[in-house]
Amino acid sequence: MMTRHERRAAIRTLFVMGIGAIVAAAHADRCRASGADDPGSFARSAPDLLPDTVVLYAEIPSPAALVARALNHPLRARLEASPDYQTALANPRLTAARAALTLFEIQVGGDWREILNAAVGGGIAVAVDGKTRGVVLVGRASDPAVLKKVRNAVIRMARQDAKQKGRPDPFQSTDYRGIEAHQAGNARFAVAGSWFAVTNQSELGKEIIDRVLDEERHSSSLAMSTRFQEGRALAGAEGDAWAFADIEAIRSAGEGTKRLEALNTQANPAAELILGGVLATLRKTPFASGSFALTDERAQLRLLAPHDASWIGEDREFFFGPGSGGAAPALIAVPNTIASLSAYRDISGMWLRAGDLFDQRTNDKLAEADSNLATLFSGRDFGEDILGALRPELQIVVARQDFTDREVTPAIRLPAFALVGELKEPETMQRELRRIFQSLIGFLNVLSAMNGQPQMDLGEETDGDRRIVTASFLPEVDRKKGEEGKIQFNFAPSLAFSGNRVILASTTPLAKQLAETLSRPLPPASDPSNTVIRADLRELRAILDENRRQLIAQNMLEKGQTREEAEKEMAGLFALLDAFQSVDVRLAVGPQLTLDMNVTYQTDAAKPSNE
Amino acid sequence: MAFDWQTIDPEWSWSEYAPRGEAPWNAERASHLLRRAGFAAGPDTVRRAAELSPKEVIDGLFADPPDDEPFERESRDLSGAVLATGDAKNLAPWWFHRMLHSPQPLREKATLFWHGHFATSADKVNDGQLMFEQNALLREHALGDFTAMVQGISRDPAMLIYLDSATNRKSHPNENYAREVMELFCLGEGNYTEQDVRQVARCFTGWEVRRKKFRFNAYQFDSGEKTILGETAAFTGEDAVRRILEEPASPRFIARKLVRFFVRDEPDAPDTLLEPLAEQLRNDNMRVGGALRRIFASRLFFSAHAAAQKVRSPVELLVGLLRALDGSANVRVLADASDQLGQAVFRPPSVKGWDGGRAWINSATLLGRANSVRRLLNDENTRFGRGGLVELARRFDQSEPSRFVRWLATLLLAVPLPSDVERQLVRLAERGEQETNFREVLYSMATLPEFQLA
Repeated sequence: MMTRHERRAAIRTLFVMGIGAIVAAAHADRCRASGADDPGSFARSAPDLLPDTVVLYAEIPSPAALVARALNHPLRARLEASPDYQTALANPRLTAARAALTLFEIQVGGDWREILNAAVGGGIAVAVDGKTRGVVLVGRASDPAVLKKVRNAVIRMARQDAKQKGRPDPFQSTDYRGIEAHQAGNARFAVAGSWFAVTNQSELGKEIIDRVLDEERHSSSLAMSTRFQEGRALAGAEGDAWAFADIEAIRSAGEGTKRLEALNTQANPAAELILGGVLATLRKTPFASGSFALTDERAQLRLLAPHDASWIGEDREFFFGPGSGGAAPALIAVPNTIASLSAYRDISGMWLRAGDLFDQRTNDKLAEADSNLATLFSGRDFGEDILGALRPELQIVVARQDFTDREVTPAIRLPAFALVGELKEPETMQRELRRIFQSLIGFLNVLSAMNGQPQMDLGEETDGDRRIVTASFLPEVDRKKGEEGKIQFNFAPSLAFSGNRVILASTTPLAKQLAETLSRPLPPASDPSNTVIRADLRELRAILDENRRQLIAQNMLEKGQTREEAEKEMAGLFALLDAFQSVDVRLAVGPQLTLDMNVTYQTDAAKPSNE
Repeated sequence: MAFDWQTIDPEWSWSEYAPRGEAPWNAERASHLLRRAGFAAGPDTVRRAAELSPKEVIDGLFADPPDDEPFERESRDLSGAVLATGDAKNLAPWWFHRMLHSPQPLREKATLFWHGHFATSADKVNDGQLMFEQNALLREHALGDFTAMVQGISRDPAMLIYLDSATNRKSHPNENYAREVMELFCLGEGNYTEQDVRQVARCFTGWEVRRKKFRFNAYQFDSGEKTILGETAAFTGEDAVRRILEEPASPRFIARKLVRFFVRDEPDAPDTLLEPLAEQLRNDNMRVGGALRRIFASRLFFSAHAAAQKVRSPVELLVGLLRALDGSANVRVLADASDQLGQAVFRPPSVKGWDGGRAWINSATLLGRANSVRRLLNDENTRFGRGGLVELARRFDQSEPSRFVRWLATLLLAVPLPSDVERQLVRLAERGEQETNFREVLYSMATLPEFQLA
């Protein structure tokens, strides 16, 4: 594997030589190379040119189409209308870059979009080779003559620049099997027929040239690798880009093993709860692949890896359930929901298996917490009796608060949040949990009284079979009318029961809404999933907007900005948020572990009516 | 030879400075005035001040600026935002914002002086709102009525909580505040007796803090006669403050602290030198504005006995560096840096405040000062005139390296820049990328021993 320095240099090289090409193919037509100039009997693809020792591979089959979609995307107009975009355009560095681009167009002859469409129209791929520790960008032109012009123009411009600055010729040229190859710093690049490659390793570059020139297909090419073929099939043919990672090869390399081991969660119970099962799969799965698609409505990212329930040890059964069969309940939504999470997680199982999952120091801390919690829960074992009373499903709801009818509106408005669980034995546990909650509020009141802080008033409400224990801060007696309250007025901790469900909420209204929602039958989850998250970015924007004054003040203090500058920056942030509607994340398990992430844009039709 | 106040004629000291051949009114003297009566001023302000007479500049320092309402409104908004977090620690950045941008730098500087005088720490009070209200009280009276300030402080909840005086019963008078009001706030040691402390404590019985507000509990007030500083009457708390401030030692005590803070760190000025200022305070019914005006307009203030005779406090160092170059920055970085250098505003180390003077400097804090300046200059949010240092220098036609170094020295230093150091800094300014070099020059100048003096 490369050192960090080598990796940075390689990335920089690829950025300079390659990423510009992707961006510039804006309005190019989708144009696949015909393969007419390939020697021998078969049309080559990028994986045909790469060795089977490649461990990471990403491909954009039709960069012109992707970039055209990006540049014609509805979000572009929003972006261009933002003040930040206009400021960025006036940036001297960007102005200089645009001047260089114009010079480039003159040198090659033609519009940059046409030039770059011709130069990368056959697709591009980036790969990391495990054997040579090389990084390579491989691409295919739809018009080899234009590709050569581009190469000549880049060399000419760089030489002119070096001459003007009194520096030596940045390029060294060499010949390999009749192909002229060039080296500038760490970057080596060559054009062979319609193909071009930029790499930081000569050996890797030679292998690629061999595969372009040789008439026979190399049996040791990436395209012939079984794992690669399976990964390609798993990623599917859809999408604008796809990627493959040879996890088994990475694991078998010493450094790769270290990297995977570095992803351990032995000292981090929260990370274990969120990622434990995924990391367990990555330690066994042979490969992973992913795909990306961009449409006018959304961006979709899908990551997949083969999964087998037998790979997951008993210690991590809490994550996927027995036989990886655990399923998350349907997402809960209440008005103004900012985010909702639903997951299968046997927290009790994780707590009781802590000895197998975490290191000694973490276990010591957990043991101390267990002891303290046992005191708080009247001597009952926290892992076994309290967490064990809940079914292995976890739900979290975060919602924007409505302060319209509240006696006190806090100056900083925080969202309300709630944890929802299902009791195995509601009859016995409801009374116990209610008593514990009341004791906890009493304990907090004593602490608050000792520190001169406001205390909470306990209450209880019943509506049918829904019971809610409430606690709320009392407004100060001498409070002036209309005066904004302190941050604690965001909270009114409440514990609610609805059927078998128990709800621990930061506010009473959210507890009530959830209790009511859960008293009705929920629609079944659409697809069995391990974890589902939905975030509504319009609600996120709304709560940020409610706190705009605070955010502006924070910017003024932390960035030394004037009010005008801070307001402008906030406007930019809100314009960006305006562009998005929601983010959906789904983790599903079956023969594959699948992670889907969809970002849905805000279309004009979906805009809130009050905007 | 060690400086000796006894050689200084009090009449000469406090007579009005008149520009003349060997002591002209120029940018250096204008900078000196604006540095001491504020936190330093930007190039435009210094230039304009040098074009006015000293009296006009001093009048301007005391005048309420006609356009300060937008700043005050903005500051109110910011204070509301930081207080809403409920964390008293957020107040320090807010005050740094004021010190950095206030159109009344003298009032802010005087507020900082009184904060050290009536030292109260948020660490103990643990309530941002109370600390904020005390700060507002100090600011309100910073250049005005000392008597009103002491009366206000005597019933200030933050102060009473800090001095464990939130309750004061007649059966068991609390002597904490009574002692501090005489020893630290109004008279100084040796000007009162333990009997006076006990008697004053009786005057403050019934003065309580309830629900974070001052309350007079008439049932707990000792209405009997008390003898304070030789005078007997049925004094109340207000009477006790008034009686203490009638003592001749009181104006001398305040004058001494003003001279130490605004003129010269050490040695402490003798009574003979202070008497004209003390008399002025007495004549002005303990309003401090007149005495301060006299200090800033004096020959002593503009003489070599005062110039560069003070060590910059961490706040003066950091805020001064920025204000001298129309700078703006992340004020949390400023507050943290000042804290690390020993001056955590809103959290003075004890009821005596900060020692100041030489106590600010030792080998560790010198290194810390250099690191803090480096951190500030490397912070992406640190700007000069809302842009780069080169841009600012160009705006004032000072971007040629040797001009830039001399210009910086005029704005930042209280003493001339040694010529060999100047040559080195010019060479540094000439190398490579200009903004980086200019910031490097600024860093180098701000870490010079000369820059530690105000």
